[in-house]
Amino acid sequence: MWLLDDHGNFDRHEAIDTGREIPGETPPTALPNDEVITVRFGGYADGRGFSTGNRLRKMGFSGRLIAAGPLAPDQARHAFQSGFDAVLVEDDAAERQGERAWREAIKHSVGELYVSGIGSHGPERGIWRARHDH
Amino acid sequence: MAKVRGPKGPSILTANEILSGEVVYWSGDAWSRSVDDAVRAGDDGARETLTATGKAEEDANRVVGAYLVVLDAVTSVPVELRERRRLAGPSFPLPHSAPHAA
Amino acid sequence: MYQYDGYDQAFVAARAAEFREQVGRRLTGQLTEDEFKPLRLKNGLYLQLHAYMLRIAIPYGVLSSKQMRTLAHLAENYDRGYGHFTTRQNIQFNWTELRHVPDMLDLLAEAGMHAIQTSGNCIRNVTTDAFAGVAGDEEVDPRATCELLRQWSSAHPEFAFLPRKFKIAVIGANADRAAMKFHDIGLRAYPGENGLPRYDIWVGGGQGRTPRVAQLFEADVPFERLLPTLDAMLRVYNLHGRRDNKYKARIKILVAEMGLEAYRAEVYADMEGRDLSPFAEAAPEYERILAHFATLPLPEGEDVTISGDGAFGEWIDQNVTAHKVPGYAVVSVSLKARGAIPGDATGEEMRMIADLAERYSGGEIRVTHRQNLVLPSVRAADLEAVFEALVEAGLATGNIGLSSDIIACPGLDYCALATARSIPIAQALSERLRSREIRVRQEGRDASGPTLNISGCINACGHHHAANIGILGLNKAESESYQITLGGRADEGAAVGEILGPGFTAEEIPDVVERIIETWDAHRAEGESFAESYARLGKDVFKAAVYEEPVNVAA
Ligand code: SF4
Repeated sequence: MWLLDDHGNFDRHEAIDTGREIPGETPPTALPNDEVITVRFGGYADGRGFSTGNRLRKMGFSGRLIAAGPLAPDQARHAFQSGFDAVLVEDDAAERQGERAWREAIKHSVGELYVSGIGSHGPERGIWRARHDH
Repeated sequence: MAKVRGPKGPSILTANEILSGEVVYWSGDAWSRSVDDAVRAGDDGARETLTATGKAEEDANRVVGAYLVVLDAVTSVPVELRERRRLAGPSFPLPHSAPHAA
Repeated sequence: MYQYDGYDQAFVAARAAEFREQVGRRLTGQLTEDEFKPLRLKNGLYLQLHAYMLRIAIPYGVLSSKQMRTLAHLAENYDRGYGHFTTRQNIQFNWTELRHVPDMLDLLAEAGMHAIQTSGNCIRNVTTDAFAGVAGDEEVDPRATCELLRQWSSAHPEFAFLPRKFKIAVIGANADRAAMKFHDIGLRAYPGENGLPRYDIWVGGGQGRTPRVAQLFEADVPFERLLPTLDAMLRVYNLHGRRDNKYKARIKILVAEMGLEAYRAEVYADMEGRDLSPFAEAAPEYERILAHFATLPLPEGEDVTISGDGAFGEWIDQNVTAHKVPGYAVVSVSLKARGAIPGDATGEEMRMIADLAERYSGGEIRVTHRQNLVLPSVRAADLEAVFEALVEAGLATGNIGLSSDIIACPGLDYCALATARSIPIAQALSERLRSREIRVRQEGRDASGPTLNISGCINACGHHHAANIGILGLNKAESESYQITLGGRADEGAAVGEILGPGFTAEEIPDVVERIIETWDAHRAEGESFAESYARLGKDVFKAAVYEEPVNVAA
């Protein structure tokens, strides 16, 4: 298993502490007290996990948040910008999609956004903030 | 993914070339722009072979959207309306730089 | 108009570079077609019936002359010399090659344009009134809100993989020239405090298989709460919208299944206790954007009344609209000449319009949802010169708002999803209706008539549900069949058309439409519009006229 963190480190691990796993489609209704939560995305085109990440951060979850499931490198920034700390990648996906694609995922994606959300771990500062917060 | 669409009958394999997007037909060993070059599968075995070829060609990233087109056994025209139009192209002269009538 | 600053420029350049890199990985197989498809769609690239199609956003329908020339350049160098303006204020190129798309995006980025989110299950190009900023009846210029929403929604991390596409329209006048109530979210802006608007937020409108007129979500929302509310509305949709059936995945179905009250409650619960600091700069940003749209320092002209005879007179009556500044006029350029393909323009025509705009309209052009172009600020004294130039180019058809000003989607001549053709139907109808309009006008009578929209499948990109006469192309046992709906409206009285009865062949359609119009003429009260007559008469009289005697089709 591989892990991409929000600094762009992409490494293979024998074992990863994934904490409590919850499905992307069901955001918890109460603040969990786990240290690590893994949100499993149902499919590549299923963006519910991003909103679940956002909801967890909104509730005040300050533990480690991992995105897992059939994501592509191009979605890594979406995960970080929705409040995730890391993306879990299975060995076969890392091999087919290319280690380099994952390692450079942040470099190649649109890094800056106009509005940076609460709890974002993305590279952006927020263009509106840059324009107005002198 | 290659799939058999619609009714059964003599079939040809079509796709779009990955880089240009142009409509192409499988000639038996390569893709051709001309439907006249298309090999026909007359029975289920041959259709399965063509379907597998389409899948392999997609996996090799040469084409996208490969599938079989079923032809009318007598007229050789595609059975489906959509495929007849795809084969014929737009049914009007494309806009060109001479002005329209006012 | 809005001008990109360094941030905007860097943003679109980064998006173009990202797409170039994605294409590279697709070609080496690191991205499968299944993975690449949502990525290319988010950048407006479709695989259509014959080729790849690139859809480029014209945000809120505003183009500069320079941008129009870029489009002409793309048409001539990367396509077959023409493009198609759509009902969503986009332009489509039908014959692009994947290998060229990254270069096309670079050229667009240089011109301050992009194809971001023109397709895919994300927030699409925000649309508005093509007369925004110049219409006499306008209360708030909707373009600043549109640009704010464009920025907020572009590359939005959380709302890029929604259950289905998401369309937003904004208007700022009582008259609805943007079919606002047929959008997933529609906004009506009103003047508010300190120069910031207030909004009525409408939700759950749409066309397609289950046409719906939007419902009022909340009235009179202050500016500060606009983005927080939209954010929560999108989040509830993202989490709860159906993903098991793409025909039930739009927000209109979610709202219908949950009920508006329950949906509202979920949205407010999501907003509860949220830290709103991400939106803290929305107001200064709105003001910054608004300054770009400050009315041109138009030298006030005297309020002249222009009239004329013949073709010029017709053009003045139909294509020229009052401007909010005296002495100026809003000129619509019809892309619906007799027998033309609705919304299509050649590179040469695009250049010609760009030149005219530069010379006579402050270098600005608008694209309408009815697939026409607009020169928004022409001095009344220049109208005749503009008309002459348009005649020269074959673009002077004086039929804006008449029945021959037909909306048509690309249909089965281009579209991979189509069930029947729409363009040839539009061409045949345009021949027939244009003759009628000219004849009626010569007789000194009112040539106005029903709006007429054509879609090549139930997805309804041709807005047939929202037309007085809608035509929907269907596939009946592998031949084309056309279903007629009557009584739809896209304006402030938004309504979904009713199906008239069994379908017709393509050849029968011109006669059928003519009978409907003749029936209306016969029953019409003085000055009544088709929609008003239909509301009064109901469908039976039209049904009888159309079905009682068989239509004779000339061989
Ligand atoms: S309405 Fe149907 S045929 Fe027309 S453009 Fe949309 S999807 Fe294609």
